[in-house]
Amino acid sequence: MPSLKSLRTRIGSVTNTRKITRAMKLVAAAKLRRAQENIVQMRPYAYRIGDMIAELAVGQDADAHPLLADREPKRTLVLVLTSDRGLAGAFNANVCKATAAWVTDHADSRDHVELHIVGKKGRDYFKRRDVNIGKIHTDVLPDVQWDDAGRIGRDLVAAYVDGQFDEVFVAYNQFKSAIQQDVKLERLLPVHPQDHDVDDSVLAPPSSDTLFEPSQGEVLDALLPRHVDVQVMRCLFESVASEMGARMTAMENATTNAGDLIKKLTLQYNRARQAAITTELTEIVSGAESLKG
Amino acid sequence: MQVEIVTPAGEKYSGEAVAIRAATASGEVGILPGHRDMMTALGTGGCHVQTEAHGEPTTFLVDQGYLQVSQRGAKVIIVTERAQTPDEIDVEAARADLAAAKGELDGSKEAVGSEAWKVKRHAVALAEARLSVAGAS
Repeated sequence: MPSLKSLRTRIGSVTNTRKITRAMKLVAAAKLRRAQENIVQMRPYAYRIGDMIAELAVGQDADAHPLLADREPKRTLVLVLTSDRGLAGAFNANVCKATAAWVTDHADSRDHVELHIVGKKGRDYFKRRDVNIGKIHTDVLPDVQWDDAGRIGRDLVAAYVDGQFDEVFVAYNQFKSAIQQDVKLERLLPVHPQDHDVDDSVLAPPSSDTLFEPSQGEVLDALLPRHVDVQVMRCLFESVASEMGARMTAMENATTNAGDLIKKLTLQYNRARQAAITTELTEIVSGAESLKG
Repeated sequence: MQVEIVTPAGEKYSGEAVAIRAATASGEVGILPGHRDMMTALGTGGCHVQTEAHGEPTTFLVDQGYLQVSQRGAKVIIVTERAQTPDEIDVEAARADLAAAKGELDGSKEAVGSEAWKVKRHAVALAEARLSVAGAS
C-alpha cells in the first residue's frame, strides 16, 4: 500500500494534469469553430472551380494543357499534411501511416517516390524512415494564409511542368465532424476533372457552342494553376479543422480519464487513512489494557 | 435565371435575377436570361445583379475570377477571389489604399507590362473599383 503522502502528491499532480487537458480542450474547441467555418465556406468555391475545369476539359484533348496531360507515372510526389503540434489523438499517425503504406505499395512500380511534408510531426515521423523527403514546410501552420497555399501550389506546378514529377498526390485528413476525420489520398496533378465531386446538373450537356473570352486556351491557362492553389488551400483547411477536432476529442477523453483516476486515487487515499486510524486506535486500546493488567 | 456568386469566404449571393452586368478582363458584359453559354475571365470592378425588371440592381465589387453561363442562359456562376457589397467597403481605407497604390505605381521602375508592374496596376484598379462601387469616386 502506497503511503498517504505519496497518494496525496499523485492526486495533486493528476488534478493539475486535468486542469491542463481541460484548458487545451477549450482552446481546441474555440479554434475548431474558426477552422470549421473556414472549410465550410471554402468548399463550394473549391468545388465550383473543379466543376468549371471539368466542363472546360470536356471535348478537349488531354494534351490541350500540360497540367491535363497524363504521363507514365515514373516519378511521384506526395504532399503530406500533418500538424506542428501533437496531443491530437491519432491525427498525425493516421495520415503518416496511410502515406507510408501507399508509398510501400507503389514504390515498386515507380522509379522515384518523394514526400513533401507540411508540419513538424510529419517531418519527425518520416525522418526516421527510409523515404525520400523533399521540401518540408513548417512555417505554414496553424494560421494558413493564401500566400502559403499559393507558394506550395506554384512549387508543385513548376516541378510538374519541369518534368521533375509525373504525378502529384496530396495526403490529408478530411474534416467530417469534430469526432470524425477521414484520411484521403487524392491526385492533384495531372488534373483529372472527373476526380472531383462534380455536380451532375452543372455538367449536364456540355454545349459545343460555348463562347470563351479571351479564348478557351487562355481561360484554361489561368484557371488550372489557380485550381491547384485552391485545392492545396482546401486540403490545408481540411487538415487544420481535422487537427482541432482530433485534439478536442483527445483532450476531452484525457480530462475524463484524469477524473476517473482522481476518483480511484481518492478512494485509495481514504482507505489508507482509515486503516491508519484503525491501527492507531487498536494500539491505544491495547496499551490501555496492558496498563490495567 | 439562377445566379450564384461564390468566393473562398463563402457563397456571397444566390438567387434569381433578370439581368447581370459585370466588368470582364477586356471590358464589360451584360447577360440576360437565355444568353448563349459562355465562360469569361472577370476583371476588377462592379458586378450588378438586377433582381426585378425595373428595380435597382444589387452591386458587388468583384475582384478577378470567372463568370460562367450554362444551361442555355438559365444559370450564371461567378467564381471570384473577393465579392463585397457597397456597405462592406471602407471608403476611407480605400482612399488611403488608392493614394498608396498610385504612389507605388508612379514610383515603380519595373517595365510597363511586366508581372511586378501588373501587380501594382491591379492594386490601383482594385482601390478605384472599391471607391466607385461604394459610390464615392
